[in-house]
Amino acid sequence: MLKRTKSSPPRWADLLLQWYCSKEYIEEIQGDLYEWYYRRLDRQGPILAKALYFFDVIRFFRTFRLKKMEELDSKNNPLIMLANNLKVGLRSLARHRFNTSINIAGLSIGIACSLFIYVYITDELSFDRHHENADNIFRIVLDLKSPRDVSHLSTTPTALAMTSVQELPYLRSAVRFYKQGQTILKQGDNVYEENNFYFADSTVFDVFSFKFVYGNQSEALNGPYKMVLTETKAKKYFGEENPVGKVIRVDEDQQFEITGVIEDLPAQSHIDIDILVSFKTWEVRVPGLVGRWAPHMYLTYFLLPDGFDQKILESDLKELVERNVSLTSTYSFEFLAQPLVDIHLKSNRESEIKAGGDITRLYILAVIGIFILLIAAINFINLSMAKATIKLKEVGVRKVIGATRRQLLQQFQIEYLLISVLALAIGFGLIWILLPSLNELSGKTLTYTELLNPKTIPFAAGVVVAIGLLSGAYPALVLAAFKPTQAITQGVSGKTVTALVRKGLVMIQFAASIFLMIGTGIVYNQLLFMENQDLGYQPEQIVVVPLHRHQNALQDFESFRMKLKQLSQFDHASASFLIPGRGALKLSYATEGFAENEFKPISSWFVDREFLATYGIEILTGRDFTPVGDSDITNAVIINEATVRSLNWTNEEAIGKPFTFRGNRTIVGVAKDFHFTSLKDQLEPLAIVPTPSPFSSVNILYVSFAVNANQVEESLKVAGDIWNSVIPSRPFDYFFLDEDFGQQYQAEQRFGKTFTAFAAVAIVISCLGLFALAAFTLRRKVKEIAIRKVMGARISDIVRHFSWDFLRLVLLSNIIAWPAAYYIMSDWVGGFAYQTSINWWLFALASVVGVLVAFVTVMLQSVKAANANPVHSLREN
Amino acid sequence: MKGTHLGEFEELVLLTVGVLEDDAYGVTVTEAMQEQTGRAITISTVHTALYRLEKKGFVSSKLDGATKARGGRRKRLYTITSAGHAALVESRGLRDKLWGQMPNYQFEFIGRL
Repeated sequence: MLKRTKSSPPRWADLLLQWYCSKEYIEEIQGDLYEWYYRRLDRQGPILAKALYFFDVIRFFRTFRLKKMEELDSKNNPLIMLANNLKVGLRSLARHRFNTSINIAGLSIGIACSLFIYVYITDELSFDRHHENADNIFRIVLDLKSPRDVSHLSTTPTALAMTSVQELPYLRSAVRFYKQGQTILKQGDNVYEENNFYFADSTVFDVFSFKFVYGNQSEALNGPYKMVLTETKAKKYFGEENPVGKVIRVDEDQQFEITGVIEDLPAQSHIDIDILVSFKTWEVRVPGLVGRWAPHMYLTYFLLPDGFDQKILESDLKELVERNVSLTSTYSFEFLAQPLVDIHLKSNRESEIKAGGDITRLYILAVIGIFILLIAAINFINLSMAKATIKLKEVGVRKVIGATRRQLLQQFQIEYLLISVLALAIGFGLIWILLPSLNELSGKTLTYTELLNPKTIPFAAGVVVAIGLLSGAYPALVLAAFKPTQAITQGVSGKTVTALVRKGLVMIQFAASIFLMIGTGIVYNQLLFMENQDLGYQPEQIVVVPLHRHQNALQDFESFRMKLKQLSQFDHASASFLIPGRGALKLSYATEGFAENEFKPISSWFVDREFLATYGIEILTGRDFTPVGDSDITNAVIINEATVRSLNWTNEEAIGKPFTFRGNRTIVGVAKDFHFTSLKDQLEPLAIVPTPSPFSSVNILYVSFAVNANQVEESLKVAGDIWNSVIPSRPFDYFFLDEDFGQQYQAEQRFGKTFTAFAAVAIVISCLGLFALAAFTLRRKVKEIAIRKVMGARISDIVRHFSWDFLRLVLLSNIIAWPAAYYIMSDWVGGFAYQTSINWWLFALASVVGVLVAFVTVMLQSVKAANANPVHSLREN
Repeated sequence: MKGTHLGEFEELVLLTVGVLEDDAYGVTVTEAMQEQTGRAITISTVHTALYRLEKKGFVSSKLDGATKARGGRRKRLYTITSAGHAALVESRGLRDKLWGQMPNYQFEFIGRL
């Protein structure tokens, strides 16, 4: 062989040649190249010769010179080994049936849960992305600032879109919506109430991508009294026929022409349109309200050019406001742009259309999903490692025969991959069966197609392969690294790094389970707290009947009230614009001590004069409205304690103070604080204003009356009879206020249920693992137990001895679980205006449950082992 | 065996193998061809041509003659076979035939230019 010197051909190029070139050709080629190289070296110098050598190596690269398949791994045929490994793997799985089934059970449940969580999260993240221009659509929202505070509104004045279109040249399009809410629609003899009734500019179809089934988008909403229905609504009113050109009557007096039918909006949409009517109709109906900078009750969406910086838009809007708005009060406007795709998860402003998702909740869910998967994977690792110790002899023999490290690794990996693939299949089966119940649990309407969409499958496959490989990696590496002599002679080694790792993993597992239990406790504690919080009235006794606008509605209501009050069991009945839990109007007021032209926003309720009496809301100082005479209607207002506090008055001081609110009024009473919005929000200042003609600007009134808790059924029947005799044209569709109010916590309740379900799954999987691990460990210690017994140990001693080994781990896991749970859950609880304190006893309880379950699991096994007859155990080979 | 057609480059390589007699292998063939034709010929093309010629049965080869400059590796030495010789003769005959048919004025014309 030639000695390698500085002037030798470049080694790396040589290696490249050796790497690709078949041994059939390598000798002659390499020889010729060397000879050629040395000739060049003399003539052209080393640098050029080396470079040319490399190019020659490249030039020799031809497919016929590549290494043949059998040259690649000369020691074995990988395909044959693969088949053999599969067979050995399946045998091993079948032999350790108990171990295998626990592994697969845990893993498949884990996979099903995390798969569902994954789909859930993708669903939440996909909101509003179906619009073609999703990334370029922005909702413009309004921060309404007074010197004292800020209201974050999701709605804006009508003038905003109109002025912007004229003054901002880059704006591609803009659309305004006004949601009317409950509206009565009539077609032929059919009368329905529709909740998602929107007025919209004709540009709505330029901004958003709604697909037309019938009709033409350019003419759909371009004049007054035109209407577009979704497919579902079109079927509801017209059946299968094309409804374009037909007529629907709204609120009995207006006729709308159907100009189009669009496909239903997907559930992943922050806006819930069923019926669109032209904004021109609104302009005709309320001409004075359009084109002004107040009120702020319209949703505005802008379509911007690709990649436009929303900051530029916001600063342009600021200048636009300065140019166009001359505010007489001390309010100031600030318009902000929200990306359409962020609205669902990140926006939580006043009067959002749909209760939004919550990004914190998604994070917590993701954490839960990862935890469950982690717990299942740890089972997998632990059981595989435990099993590995009895495979030592097999490994030793294989090594002696000549198995390489890589072959051994492959063999184990295949066994683990088999388990995970089986688990994946079962996991998919599980979720297939459980999907309806999971949908109910989470409030989603996920379908099988979403479950099997092209994004989910790679995720699932990736998870499985990762679990199979990662979980298999550690035991495989440990095993493959053993020296053959050690592997054969040394029986089972107890105190190795392996045992330490196994213990650490059990700790992590129980830490995750205890974390989830604490989480469940905290979620439920908060829900319970909100349900039991004193709202300031008795919602479970109040019955509400919505009354729609119709001719003489007010007189009808008055006669209903009169007849009702003639009966002894009813003291009061009331009609109001709003009821607790359905929001409040933000209007402005001024009072003593305000500068000239200074106004402040306040939540306002328009009610009749019996409202406070009906709801049993206590008047702390001053008086309630007088039911007779007109003076209160024009002059009086009652405020809540929160208003008094915000003004730094005492309740007594407040009485008699002037209150400028749609005219000059006087504060006649201070009502005890009551929760008119959900407990997620802070209780805010509220002005309660008596109103003379409730139907002047709304379509619906809420009629409320209290029923006696002892005779609910009877009272409802009586009230229903009276209603039907007085207002036969409107149904007596009553509901209980507490149920309606509770609807606001639906998301939280679902979250609580989800949390509980997953926590239960987590603890079950953890215990499965612990159970199998304990069984396994004790089986290996059968002789030790027998000798201890022979030496005189009592059963209780043995049980204590071996249980303590595991229990110690579970106890230690609390150290990880507690701070993690505290940290993450206080973040969640922090989202509520009214929160329970996070109780220490919840932590203690979760730990006790965790320890107890673990103890029972291990004890079952150790009692069995301790009861065995030592003679049998010792005689056994 | 594939077709026995002899390409232009292959013909040159085959001729060179004949010329070099007992010492025809990758390096010498390449070198001789570079000298004779003045073309830039790479060693890998020559190798490929030699394989092809062997496949067609025009040359035969054996491994022999390791030297120090080759790092102790043997050469693949090529000798021309009778089939190879016949192919060369046939190719030359074809050319001669065509040469004979070419009218003389063509050369005169080119010569005047």
